[in-house]
Amino acid sequence: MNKNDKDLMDKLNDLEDFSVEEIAEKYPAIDKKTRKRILKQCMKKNAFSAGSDHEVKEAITVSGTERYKRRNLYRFAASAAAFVIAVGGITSVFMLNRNPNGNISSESEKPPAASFYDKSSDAASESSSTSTNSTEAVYDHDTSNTLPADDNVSDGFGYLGTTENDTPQPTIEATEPTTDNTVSFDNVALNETCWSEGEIDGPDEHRIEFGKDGFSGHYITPPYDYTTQDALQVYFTYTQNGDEISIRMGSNKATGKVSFSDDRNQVMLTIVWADGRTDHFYTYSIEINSDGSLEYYLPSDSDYNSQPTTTENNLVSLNGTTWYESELDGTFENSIMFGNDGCNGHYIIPPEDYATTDPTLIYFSYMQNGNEILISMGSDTATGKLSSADNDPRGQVMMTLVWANGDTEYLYTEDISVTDLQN
Amino acid sequence: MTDSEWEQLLCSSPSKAYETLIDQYGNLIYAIVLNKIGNCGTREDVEDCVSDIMVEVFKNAEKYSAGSGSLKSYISTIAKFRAIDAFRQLSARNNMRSDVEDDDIFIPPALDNTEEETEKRIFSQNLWNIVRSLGEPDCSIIVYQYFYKRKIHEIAKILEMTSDSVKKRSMRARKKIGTLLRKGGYHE
Repeated sequence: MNKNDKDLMDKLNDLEDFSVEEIAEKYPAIDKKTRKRILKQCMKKNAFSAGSDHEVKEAITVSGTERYKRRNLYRFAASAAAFVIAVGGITSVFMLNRNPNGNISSESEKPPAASFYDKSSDAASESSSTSTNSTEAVYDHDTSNTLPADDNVSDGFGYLGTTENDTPQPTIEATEPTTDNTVSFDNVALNETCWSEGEIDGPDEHRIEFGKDGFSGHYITPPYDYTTQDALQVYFTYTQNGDEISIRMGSNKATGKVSFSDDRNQVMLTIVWADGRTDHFYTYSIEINSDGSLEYYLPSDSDYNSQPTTTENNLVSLNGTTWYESELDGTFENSIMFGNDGCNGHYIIPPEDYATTDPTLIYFSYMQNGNEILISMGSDTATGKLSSADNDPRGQVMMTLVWANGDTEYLYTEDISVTDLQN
Repeated sequence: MTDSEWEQLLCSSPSKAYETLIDQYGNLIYAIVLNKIGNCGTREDVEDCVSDIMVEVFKNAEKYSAGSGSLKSYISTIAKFRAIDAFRQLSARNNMRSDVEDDDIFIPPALDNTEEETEKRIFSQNLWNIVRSLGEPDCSIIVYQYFYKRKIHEIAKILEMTSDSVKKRSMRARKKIGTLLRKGGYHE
């Protein structure tokens, strides 16, 4: 069938009368619906033209209408009302922005929950100054104004057996490795961190930075399956060296949850400090109460797996790791997993300016707890290089090993040598 | 119902007379209208025209007397003229739509007494004869599809067939018609 055959069929009209009659008779086209429609139309037309059909006439005749005329008064009244509403709105916004003294509030002059931190900060300053010289009071008074409501804060401290009035100033001391500065952290910054579910529900490299010093190096690693819909309620305090830090996730309204079947050695929350120290919170040390508050205790040393699980076989997995230059160049946080236990928690942080074109030649071995771990980077053919003390901003730390239990080992330039593997 | 019975019914109950008119002659009127405006009007146009014819028949009912001729011829005549009017209106409307930018003066198509028109009619009649010779259900399918302009699924519903078989049969029938027309001396 071609197009012309199809076009031909469109010529099936203009037939002789007898043919049309035949078609009408043999092939009726008016079904019930069509009949009804035609009848309705007939009735309408009949009613319009002759006025003889009373039944339909009623339905289509409209009477008693008159042209609507809006009074001018309405226009003025509406304009006036709109003006009043607009002025009222602007005025109320202006009034709401004024503090009781009559001044327009600004960020720096907000007083709210700061009173609690102001009170405690004095005590904390005293305690910290008596305990150690190197300790710095780090709680930020100025920024506490944006903390959550007071009731949330007191809830968090309540589980530590303290009250608002007797809570000491949280101050954190640096322990090993020594850094010249204690860790400074800032509740406000953490509280204001947007902790959306999508960021948290996934790999544990997601972290939330906090602290006043540009968030450099201070971050909190959330538990793997922690979720909250109320990101602003996430804050923490923590006790260390006599100073108090409390951790709290979620709120009454939040749907915060902590997994009790975490396959990552039960570490639910990790705080990594600027000096490299890492604190872990375990599932059994963290509990979310029905009111959304969190109870926890710090794990003792025995809670950690003090013996790294590294064996000689680890060398193989490290050697097999593809280590691309672009990943290493200038990104300190890049890490390479190793170990036999699915590379879980064992990773090596390469030096910042290390580069190689032959990534498969990287291997290591290193002595720890009677086990030998050797580190070797580069080869004759590789362009591996190590930074000198002059250009390494991180105090000659060339490589950092982080073990599954959280222990961190620093390798310095003198500990690392380039070995020609091919020889 | 005989013509004189309808005449009586018209006097006693005009509404019923209307219904009877549609039941008895509705298909004829519909076919007459379609025969004229099927290619230029929509189904709504056809129905509109049919209802116009009905109203006209009804309005001029007093002019009709059963003794002067059959009601069928009376209605057919009205229907034909009305259909021609509708055809002219629709053609004008369609031309106005398509030529609205060219400001051409519309010349209504001539319907009668032209050579071209006669040839067309002869061809259409031949076509119909071939369609009739196809037998059922092919003939029904072609009539509903190309005379009544019904869609495949509607035809399938009317003929109680599946849409696929209607489509296939229609295709085969058209092919056959094309062959038969060419055999009869038709050239595109």
